[in-house]
Amino acid sequence: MDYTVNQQAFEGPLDLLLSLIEKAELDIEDIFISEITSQYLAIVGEMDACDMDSVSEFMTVAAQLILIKSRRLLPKPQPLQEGEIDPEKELIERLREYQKLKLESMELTQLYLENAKSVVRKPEEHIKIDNVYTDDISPEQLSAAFFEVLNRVKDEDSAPVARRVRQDAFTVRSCAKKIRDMLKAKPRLAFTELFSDNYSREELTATFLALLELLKHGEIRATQSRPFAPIMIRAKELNENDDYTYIDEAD
Amino acid sequence: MENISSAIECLLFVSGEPVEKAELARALEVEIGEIEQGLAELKDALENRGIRLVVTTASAQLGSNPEYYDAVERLLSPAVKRSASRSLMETLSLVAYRQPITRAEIENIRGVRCDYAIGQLLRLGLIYECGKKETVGRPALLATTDAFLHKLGISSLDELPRVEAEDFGTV
Repeated sequence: MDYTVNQQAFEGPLDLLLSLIEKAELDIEDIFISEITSQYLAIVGEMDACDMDSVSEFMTVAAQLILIKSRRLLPKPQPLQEGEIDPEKELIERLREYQKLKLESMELTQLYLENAKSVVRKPEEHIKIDNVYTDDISPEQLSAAFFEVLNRVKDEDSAPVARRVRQDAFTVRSCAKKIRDMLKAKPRLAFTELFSDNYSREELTATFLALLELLKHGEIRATQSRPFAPIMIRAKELNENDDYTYIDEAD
Repeated sequence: MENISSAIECLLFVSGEPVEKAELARALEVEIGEIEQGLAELKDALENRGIRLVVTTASAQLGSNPEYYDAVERLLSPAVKRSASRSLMETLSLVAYRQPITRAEIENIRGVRCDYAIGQLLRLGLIYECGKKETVGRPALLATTDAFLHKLGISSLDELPRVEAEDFGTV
């Protein structure tokens, strides 16, 4: 049997095992009293041993099958140690779980393909928002909002103490990623939502710089409905992986 | 406003993409409740029409009626949609049905590594990291996005097709 064919046909060891069971028209429970183990081992035996990454996954299950088979050969199977999981039960459980997943995946694929037949328009091109800041929000307002948050941070003890210089826990890059992730989950955020509950000055600064970077590159928009209203952040065109140079990254 | 559902229809038409309900309310200068009502009216009005409306908890989007896809294809011959690969769909359904779920949990059920599939789904904006699991290493928890609902044309996770227990009792 040609492994390259197998590799494309099966999504992994559980998939291979399940299709062998299906072919033999067996119940999952009967897997260990059948020829399935030897069939499985034969197929795995012919796999290209050089492709360690994918073969190792098949090998793990092969080892499990051999363990189960060998336990069955013992006249008196060793009783399970406390906390030890019955390998038979575990494998059957995993196969059942995978079988359910396959069905769910098929349902989802069908729904997906059905819905792909609904075509959506691209946004109207002449409605363009080129401005980083809209008419009703100025850099001053944005900085005012920043200092408002900053003021909420308790002033650190000003007495000189020995301090350790730690590596930055927050970088502009990581904060930019966090903002993108938040916007993916919730397309419209209040400015204050960007900060965690117990934010430090460090996090605050990095987040604010990240926000400015994202505005500059047109990834997000900031709007304010009226003076002193909360500033809302919205996704415009989020980049997945940026290649910007950030101010806090020594190069 | 006189006819809120028509106004919403107009906004959704020019936007094309899903529009947040809050955004609709802001643009039309009405309360969110009126938007909800307008969307419900619009949905009724679009019954058996060439345009259909998909409303999720967060947003709404207009799209063409899937029934006429063949005709659309003949008219515009849209770029061939790549059907998602099996590994992608398997990973996506695990996130959809078992969310929130960690990468390790997904890999355990599938029996194979899923870095690529998870990366792709994150890139496509269909899933996102919704938090951390309070366990060793605090692994990221994955969940589906609003865009995922629009991709499937459903308004909430409750509308996911259910796989009944008896369907997989025996092979």
